[in-house]
Amino acid sequence: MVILVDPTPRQTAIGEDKHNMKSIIIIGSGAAAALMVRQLLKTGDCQITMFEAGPDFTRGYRKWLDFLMRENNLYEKFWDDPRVENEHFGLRGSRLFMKGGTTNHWGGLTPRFKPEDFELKSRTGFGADWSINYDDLAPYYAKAEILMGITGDSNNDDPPRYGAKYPFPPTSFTLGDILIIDALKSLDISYGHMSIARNGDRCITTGTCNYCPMNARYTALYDLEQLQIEYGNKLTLKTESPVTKIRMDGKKSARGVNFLNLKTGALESMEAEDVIVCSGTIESTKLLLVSANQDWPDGIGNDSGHLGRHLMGHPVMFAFGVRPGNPDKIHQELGFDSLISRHFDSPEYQPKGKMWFSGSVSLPSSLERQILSNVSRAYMNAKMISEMAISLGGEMEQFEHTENRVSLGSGTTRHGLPTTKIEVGVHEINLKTQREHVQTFVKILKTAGCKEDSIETGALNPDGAHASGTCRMSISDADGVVNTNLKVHGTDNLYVCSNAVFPSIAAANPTLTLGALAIRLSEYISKK
Amino acid sequence: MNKLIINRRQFLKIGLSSGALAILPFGCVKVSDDDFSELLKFISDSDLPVNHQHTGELSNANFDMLSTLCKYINQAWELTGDLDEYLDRLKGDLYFKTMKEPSYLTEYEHAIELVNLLVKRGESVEQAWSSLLFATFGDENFESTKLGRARNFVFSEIITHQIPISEGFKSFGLVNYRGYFGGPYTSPDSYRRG
Repeated sequence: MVILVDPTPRQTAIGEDKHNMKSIIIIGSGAAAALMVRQLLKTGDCQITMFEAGPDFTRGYRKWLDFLMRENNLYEKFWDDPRVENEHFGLRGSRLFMKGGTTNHWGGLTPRFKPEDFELKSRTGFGADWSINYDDLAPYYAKAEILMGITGDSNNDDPPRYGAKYPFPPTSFTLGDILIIDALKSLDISYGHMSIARNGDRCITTGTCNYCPMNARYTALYDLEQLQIEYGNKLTLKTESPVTKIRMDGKKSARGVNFLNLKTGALESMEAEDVIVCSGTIESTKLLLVSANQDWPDGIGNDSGHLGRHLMGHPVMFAFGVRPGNPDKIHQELGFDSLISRHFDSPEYQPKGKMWFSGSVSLPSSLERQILSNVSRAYMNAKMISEMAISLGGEMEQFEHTENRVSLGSGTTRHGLPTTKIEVGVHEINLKTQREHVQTFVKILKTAGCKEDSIETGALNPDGAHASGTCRMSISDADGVVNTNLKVHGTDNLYVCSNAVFPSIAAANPTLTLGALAIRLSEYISKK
Repeated sequence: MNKLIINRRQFLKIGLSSGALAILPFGCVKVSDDDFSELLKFISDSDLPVNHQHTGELSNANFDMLSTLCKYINQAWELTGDLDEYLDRLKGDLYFKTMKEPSYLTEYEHAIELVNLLVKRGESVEQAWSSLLFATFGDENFESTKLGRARNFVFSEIITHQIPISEGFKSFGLVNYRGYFGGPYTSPDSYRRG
């Protein structure tokens, strides 16, 4: 329980003893925040204070042991409040309130958006166009790929790379990939190497990627730990310090923030020259809404009424089946995806909802589970060569709808922030395409040799992991919340850098695009 | 009175008929009625280890008894690999599990008491492990009992550790496995390529 002991915030200013340094407040500590901090500190003379609502997270060998031996969810205690659930758009379990944010449990899949993704409205009539195009973002994609340590195929020019090289080569296809690839070839479905945030200098293929003992999977947590060591005197990170309000000086100027010190229960405030909101789609939106004042009665940046609207995510499809015969005892030995098909992530499929997918092959049951079930070695041997499980999973583009929205709930979360209210409808256009994509998976599995009666399929609604669109980017303040430089329309020094600024979500995972936007924004602020 | 039954549930899950008892390494599993009270004594229904703040090092005698589980698994499932080397690694890792919170020390000690109990009643160590791992009890609160917790916190965790760290998975012809440090993905030895 948070007790506000001081209704008048105790004020501090950052950089009080650091003359001539630009003072910047960054709210949030996920991928966007960490990448921005790295670039700002590298290129500019600034003093940064970061605010994270959740706690710090201490890593160590013991945590890895627990994750290996118990296969528990290390991050469950950082999940959303259970009261925020919406049947069509869940939040709990999808995003994390902790230092490093959701990158602590992300898969690290980092495909770029494609050129057509920035022109959804022009090409299909749905949603909105971006106010920047692929070529504007291409150089920043390349920088983000370096900073996040991405492995990928530099020779794959769909989308165009303009000669940019990934820092690490792609992983070779596994034995299991080849089985799926054979099926894709016979169905004339294109495929390629997955681009994924696995640092090739560190990865030791241990398969415990959700808690990588080597920090090979990019996390903002590890990135920030390094930055705190590197730039200790220029960077302050306040954990358990949720920002409750953006303080404005008149309509245009952000003056600073109010925040709760959850360790003491005190309400405090801080001032800075620039305020950048990197709290993810849901919290960034809520912060602008809750910061309403006499100049912004409906929330900062919300004179147009777009703030909180156009909520999008990625519907997920999956299918798996059992294929008889496994003489090579093919098993998922790499531990992360090495194959991707973006065949349906193309202009041709854009009017229906684009999709990418991946797949893997594994034993029907883990060795330890079989032993713990008292299955004999002889039976295990026979079972291993008798069959394999093939699974396919993918994500598709969801079109935005104005009525899909995030707003403030009536309660208060454990962080002292307003609860989240989500209103999302069911839209036939995406459901129909989702069913078509699932049938494509079934066709691939059958072609790969899976028994028809063994094939099971499923689909999941979008959730908070890839939530986007609620502070969308626009040229005109009548059409969105932030401008092309991610500055909130009508303000001089308040920015939003999260998936919330995406006018459309594409099919690809959003984090690399967010990273590119973060680097682009940091350059803009450094040059300002 | 709790009723001892042979567990076929897992077998049915993997598509076996009820007549497939031949796949059991050790046929019928027996536990005498006298042992039920200790095995099924209520301990806790918490998700945390019991006395998780009680840290300390596992005694050599207790570790030696616990390591007989690994020997039993190694033998019964014909795992290859250097068991002595693995046990050194296990000892080091259990040190982390008992010296740091949440400490598993009490859970390990409870589990060892169960093995000792059955051995004292005349079972061989192998028979004791077979009973402790696979006997099934019709107790609805089984997960909260001494044996239920030992299976959850101790036996299954150690076996999950043993398969990759002892390289036992390699005896099945696999090259890499969850938890094993297979090496860089650029190394041809780290996983099998297509």
